[in-house]
Amino acid sequence: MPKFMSVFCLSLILVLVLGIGVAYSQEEGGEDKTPADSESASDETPLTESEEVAPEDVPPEEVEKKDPPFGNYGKMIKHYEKVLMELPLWGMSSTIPEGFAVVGMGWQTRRPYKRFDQDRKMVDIVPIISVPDPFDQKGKFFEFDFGVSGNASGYGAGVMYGLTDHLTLSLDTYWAVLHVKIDPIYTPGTADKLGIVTLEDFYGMLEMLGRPRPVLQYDSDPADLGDTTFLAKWNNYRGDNVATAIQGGIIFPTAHQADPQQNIIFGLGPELDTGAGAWGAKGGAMIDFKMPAPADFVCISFMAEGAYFLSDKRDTPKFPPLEQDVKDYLASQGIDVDIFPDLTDTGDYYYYTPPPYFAATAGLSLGIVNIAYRHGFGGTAKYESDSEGFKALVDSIGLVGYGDDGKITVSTNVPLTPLFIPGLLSFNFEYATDGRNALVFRDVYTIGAGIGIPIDVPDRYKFKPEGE
Amino acid sequence: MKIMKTVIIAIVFAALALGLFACMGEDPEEMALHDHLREGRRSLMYGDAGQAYNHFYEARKIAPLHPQALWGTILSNDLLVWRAISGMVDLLGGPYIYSPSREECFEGCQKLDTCDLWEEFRTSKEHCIADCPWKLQPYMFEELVAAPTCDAIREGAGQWIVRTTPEHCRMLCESLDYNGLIQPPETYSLQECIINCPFMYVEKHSGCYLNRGYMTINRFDRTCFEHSVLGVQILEDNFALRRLPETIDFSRFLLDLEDEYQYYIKYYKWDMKEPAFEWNLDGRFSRPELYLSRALNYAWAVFIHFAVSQNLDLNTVAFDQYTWQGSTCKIMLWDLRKVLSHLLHDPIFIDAFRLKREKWTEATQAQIDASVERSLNHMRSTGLNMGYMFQEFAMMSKALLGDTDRQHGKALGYSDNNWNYRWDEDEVLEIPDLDLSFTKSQMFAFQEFCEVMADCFINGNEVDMQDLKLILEALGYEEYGIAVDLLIMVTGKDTINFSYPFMHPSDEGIRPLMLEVEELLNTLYDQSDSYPDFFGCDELDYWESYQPYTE
Repeated sequence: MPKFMSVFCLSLILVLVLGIGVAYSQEEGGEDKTPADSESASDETPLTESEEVAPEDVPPEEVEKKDPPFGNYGKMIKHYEKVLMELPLWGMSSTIPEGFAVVGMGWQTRRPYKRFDQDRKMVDIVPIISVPDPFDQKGKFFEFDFGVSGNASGYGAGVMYGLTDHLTLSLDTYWAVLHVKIDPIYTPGTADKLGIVTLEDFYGMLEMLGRPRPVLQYDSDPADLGDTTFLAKWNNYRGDNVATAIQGGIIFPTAHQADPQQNIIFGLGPELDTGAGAWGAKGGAMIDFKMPAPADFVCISFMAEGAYFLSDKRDTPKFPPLEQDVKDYLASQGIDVDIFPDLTDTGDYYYYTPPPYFAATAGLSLGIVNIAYRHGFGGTAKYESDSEGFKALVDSIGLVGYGDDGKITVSTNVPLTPLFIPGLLSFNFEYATDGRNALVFRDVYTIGAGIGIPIDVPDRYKFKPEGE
Repeated sequence: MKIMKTVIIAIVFAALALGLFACMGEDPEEMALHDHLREGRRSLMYGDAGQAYNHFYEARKIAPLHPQALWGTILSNDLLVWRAISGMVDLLGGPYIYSPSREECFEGCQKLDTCDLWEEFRTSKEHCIADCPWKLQPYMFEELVAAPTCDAIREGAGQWIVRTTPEHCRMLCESLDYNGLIQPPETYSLQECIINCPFMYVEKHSGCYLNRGYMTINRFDRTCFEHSVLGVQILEDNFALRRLPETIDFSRFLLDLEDEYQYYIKYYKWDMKEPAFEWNLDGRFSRPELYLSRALNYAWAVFIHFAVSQNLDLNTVAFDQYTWQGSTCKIMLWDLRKVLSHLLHDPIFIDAFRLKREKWTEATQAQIDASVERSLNHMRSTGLNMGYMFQEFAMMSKALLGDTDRQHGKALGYSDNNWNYRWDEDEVLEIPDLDLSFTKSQMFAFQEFCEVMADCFINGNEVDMQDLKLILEALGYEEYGIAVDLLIMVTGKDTINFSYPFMHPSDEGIRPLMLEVEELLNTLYDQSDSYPDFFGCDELDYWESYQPYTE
């Protein structure tokens, strides 16, 4: 989820340019400009309307064109189309031209499907717990299927602004819409010898072992805010066929933090944080290689990015007292009760440091279609508490360990400039390919829309309506 | 025109067919109900009590008063009672001991031989295979076989069974004395503690205690010695009787139905594996079976209330210290009295067999008082439930005696040989699985006995011992008349209130009784040389089945 805004915004820039280009070439006769042409066009002198529509080498019958509709507005759209087309904006390293802003919004849906385990095998998100029979070592003591189901979607919003032609500032955030349900099925084995027959009985036993009965459902109402990221991206080099950029920024701790009493990390319910929820720093570097003409619509990009977070003070969940005698008895019967440490000393708060992460992306752009493979590596989250039991609890649930995941992203974009709307629609599909200790989502679709707005464009880009 | 007519007819038929299919569709909830009822009955037949219960539970969610769902729940609960009894037997039998193959035993014996651990494992070269797996649980046995060195065996599997060394025993008992736990005559004296210690504690436990800086550990330490029975008691207190109210309420509902609903089940039995017990109750269930079920559940309640009211936090290791090898009456009695003595006088497991109370340091006085009050209430409930149990048995007898239904195919029915739907004098109720049979007169006597006992336990009325003797004779148990006479002689009373110990329980629980038993065993042991041969204790000797281990 946190990534989708940046992917969306990135594709927005690329496709805004490419899409406008396609639209332009369809409508204006497909003028093919070289970078040198573009550079010569990027003169301090603003382009005039006559200059835009009267290139010397165009046949006279095509020069006599109709004015675009919507008067000056239509002309402005066409003007900026041309401005953007002439700028060398390709690859992941591209930035927003000076004075322009892009406001984007997106919607994404995804379905929790499986989980990659420690051995990179795809398993159920929460595996069925099957406890072997302690009495005569045949069959099972009980089986517990969490029956986790649900769906997630989200809205993203962001704004980017070109401070200079090579420096873009951006701010983005998102909201997650979560509906997660636990529909547990308890199947007694020889636990019925102790009278633990129904789900209610099982919860009763959990309470004796110092765990409250789990919360079974979580619905964000209506949506939970995610992390907000401020980034500055500097396109430090842009040649004919190679371009590089670096970026850095701050992550604000705006993400919704799960209620500790129903946080999935503690095995108490289905709620989860919708982001890091802590102050963090983010950085990255990217390099693009554009093929020479006539294959100059092909661009290969590489990006490396990472983030590091500071620790955040959080409330600890409250646990009922542990019946040590019951735990001792179950342990004496050979039942693994290590996941039930004494949690009476957890205190009021703990310190949480979200896991740092590093990701590498390789992408291929073919005109308006982009294909990318991203592999992310997540570190281990830190839970600092004076309570040994609390740390043991988090470790034993095992949802916070080191992990990595890979996914393929395919995106395409539809420019809206033919409709005289200064923006585009973006479609994105994501498919998880492999990983370790990572959730697998399916049906990950994103649709986004972006609008370009000239805020304080320099004279060289500025549109001058006729008569001025 | 003809084609048009055909098309119209076809459309009409199609519409009718669709309508018919629509009518055939059953309400999904109704279908789910029948699925659960069917699967529940199936699980009952397979003896899968937990599954059966859950199916009937789901059925009741859809139709709370469906007679089949209520019957199914009651019969599931009855099976669960037997499962729980079976669980109790398992618990009393201690943890699961591994059942190795002969090859595995041979491998283990080789290890013991190499490391010369015969004494530590309480076996010998000759008896190694027969003694295998030396009371080891599966993981312990695995540890033994996989141990790379002799020390690894001693520190791994061995520590669970290796007796505490005399040196450690001295240190341990002195520590207990230092911490005020040696309180003769309630506990062993310091000297007795040192002498008996090797038979009460294994190195696993005493080593842990001594390694923790034993002089600072008080009686409330629970980390080294196993107090697992307390956990069982808490579990039983919380779960064992959860379904009793359900059984009582549902059976009451079914008993109050104007039109009796009989439940048929093709295969159904109450059974246990160890000790082997089976009571086939296939067939139709009606009023007498409902009373039987209620009686069973109250009997279980009697056991549970009593079991959780006593402090059964005992040194279970003491049970393992005797192998009963080469038993004779004398050895058996010596072993028995020593085990009981260890249980009663162990300074760590103090208060054994007294009324249960909170025993850990963190308990406040208010908590202790509350726990004592809880135990007192459990004792009172024991008595009351005993009364209810007798009451239900009396009602069952009454229902059987007055049953005018067809008896063939009933789970519990008399042999209506002449098919007159009446219990005649020459007809009997036979329970072959229990080797029991009742004539009509005996059933009357049984009813009377149960009514008298119910009155005693519920209302606290005294039982006239002469009446009791007559009832026992009518039941065909004349020989128990002697026991009644003995009771009259001992108490000096013609009437006895059996409910008194339950209605007016003492803090001492059953400890005084156990101390009496200890005395009795001591007396019996002292006289054991003069026992006649027909006592047959020597038959307990099972050495002949041993196969010596040889390289």
